[in-house]
Amino acid sequence: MSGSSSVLVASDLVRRYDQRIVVDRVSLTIESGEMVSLMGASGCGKTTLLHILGTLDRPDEGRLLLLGRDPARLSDAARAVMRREELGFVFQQSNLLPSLTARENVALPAWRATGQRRASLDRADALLDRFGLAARGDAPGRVLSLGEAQRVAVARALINRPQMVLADEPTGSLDSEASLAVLDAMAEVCRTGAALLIVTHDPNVAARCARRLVMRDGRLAPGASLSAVEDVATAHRTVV
Amino acid sequence: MRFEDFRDGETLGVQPGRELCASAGPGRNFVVFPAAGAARGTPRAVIEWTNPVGRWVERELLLRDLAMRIGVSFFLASRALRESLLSTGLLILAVAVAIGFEVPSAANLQGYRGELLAQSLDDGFGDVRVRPGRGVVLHDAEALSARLAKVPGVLEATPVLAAPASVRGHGHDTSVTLFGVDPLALHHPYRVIAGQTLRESRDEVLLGASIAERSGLTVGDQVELRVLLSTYPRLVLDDGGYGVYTLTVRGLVGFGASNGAFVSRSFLAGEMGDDDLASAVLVHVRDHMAAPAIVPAVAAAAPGAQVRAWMDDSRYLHSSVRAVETLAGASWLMGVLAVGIPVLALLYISTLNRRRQIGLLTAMGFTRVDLFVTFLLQALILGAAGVAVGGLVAVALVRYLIAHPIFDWQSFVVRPVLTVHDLVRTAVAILGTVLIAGSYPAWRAARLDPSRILRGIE
Repeated sequence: MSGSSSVLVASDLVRRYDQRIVVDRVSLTIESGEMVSLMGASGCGKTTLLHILGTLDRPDEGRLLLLGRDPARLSDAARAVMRREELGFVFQQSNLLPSLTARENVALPAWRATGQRRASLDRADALLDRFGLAARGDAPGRVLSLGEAQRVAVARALINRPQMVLADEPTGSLDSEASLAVLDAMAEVCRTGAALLIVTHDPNVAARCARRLVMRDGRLAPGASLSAVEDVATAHRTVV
Repeated sequence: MRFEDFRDGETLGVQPGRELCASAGPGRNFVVFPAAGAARGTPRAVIEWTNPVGRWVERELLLRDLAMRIGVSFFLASRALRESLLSTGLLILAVAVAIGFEVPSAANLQGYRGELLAQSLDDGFGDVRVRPGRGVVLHDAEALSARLAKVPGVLEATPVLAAPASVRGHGHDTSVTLFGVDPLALHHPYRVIAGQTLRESRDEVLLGASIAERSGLTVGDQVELRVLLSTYPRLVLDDGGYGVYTLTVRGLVGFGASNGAFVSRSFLAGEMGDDDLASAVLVHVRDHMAAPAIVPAVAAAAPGAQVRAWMDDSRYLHSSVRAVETLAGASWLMGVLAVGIPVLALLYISTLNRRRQIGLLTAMGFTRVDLFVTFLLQALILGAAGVAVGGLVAVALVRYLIAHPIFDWQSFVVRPVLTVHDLVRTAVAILGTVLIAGSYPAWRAARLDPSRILRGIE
């Protein structure tokens, strides 16, 4: 059931690709301001679930309520509006449009949402400043380091003050120092009141989350503990 | 801002993508409507207005939203083009080359067609030819010409009289067709390329340039003209059937008339014993291609005569004109394909290379329409730049070809004909081709599955 502060309520979500069940009856509720991690071995359906929750993909079965609305009942354009104004995304890599500067990358969703380019760029500058990237604002996306690009992506995810940010292995390709900077930036997400769902293989990232979920073979493991998380992380490291 | 959050008197609130709320004045004058893509099952629009201001606000909001969306798409399109300068340069070059060569080529063909018609019809044997239905001569040619000149659409009707003859000069004899023409008419079946045009005289002749060249004759020379007068029925037969005249070459005529000779018709007809004889009456109209349409009216004014439009009378000319038009059409089609295929290919490749960016934009909340417009604007920018560059190249080439014609023989000079209308029409056609060619990659970009792209499956 959707509580008054529930940002996301998913019930029995199923997603199949070519008859193969990738997401298998996943139910999940995320509250406002909550920081949730989702771990699991490669190919267990984490990213697919993230895309479904972010309206980039549709479940074959089950029901999703995002901010009290069912994306399945919305048109493509309305789902785009939802992504633009209520959600933020951070992906593992290649997050930025290479032909745009850092500040243009950050400002773009706000410009599209409000039509006010100047104000959007000002807000982008403020966000970049908050993430210690003020000096890199005019650098094209293609010349930023991976860590810088991820922090720019976090800033972009926040620019429209979303209700929820979905991050898919945001530190997956970073060294530990850069990871720490990105995690600090991610922590800012929850301070804005938005919920945060991070898909990660890194137990250190998961450890910073109030709630940790583990996914196995398309299902959320019941009552996952930190040790289970560490098991998954160990399994992942072995695979990698 | 949502409707329920809206307070009366608040200034205009524009939130594209959400409910758009506005205060059109105090009281209940609200305009509230959801942007495109509002939740299905919810009211499409809650619109309350009590005066025209409300409607104005609604329209303003829609226009502002549209302008904003195009602005963002234009920004992304222009940046994407800057991202790959080589591809962009090649695409602009493809469009520019196509228009830069297509326009002068079409202008040359147009010039050739125009000159061919002018030489063969205006300065030739007219658009409609009236000949005797029986026998070889028309009597009362002046009266017939006057009647034909009154037919609506006819510019002029002039009688001509033809007879076999030979020209002797510098010891050479050359067979020619001798034409008696009206020197005072507006149209003559020749174009003077040297010397002066014919006068009403018994002592002067215009000579075809080829004959003059073969015989070593030039303007001012005297020639002996032997004319077979017995071709026509005559009253007096005391000259052996031909007349011999010594005439001065007043001018040389070229192209279609370069193997003929021309004297005053009154002189030639008089020698034949009837001042008003003609072999044909040449009818000139304003629009050459409309000649067949005027044939029935001309025929009605010349009962018993044989009346034929130039298309039926001169198959060679007609075939030549049609061949030029076919070549022009083929050249135009090649120009269009030369633009369309590379634009389609390169934009499609660009779309494939930018799938990740398309996924990111979708995640950022860009709609399919936004993506389609962005990619289409890329094509539009390329097309406009290519047309601008190609247009300048085309105009420069045409000006060069006007100064240096590709064909210049006697009086037949092919100078490219380029009008603003032709240039605009070609530019619009090329731009349209670019847009059509860019539509498919744009459509593909808009239809890509963001989830599969972002997972690297597509």
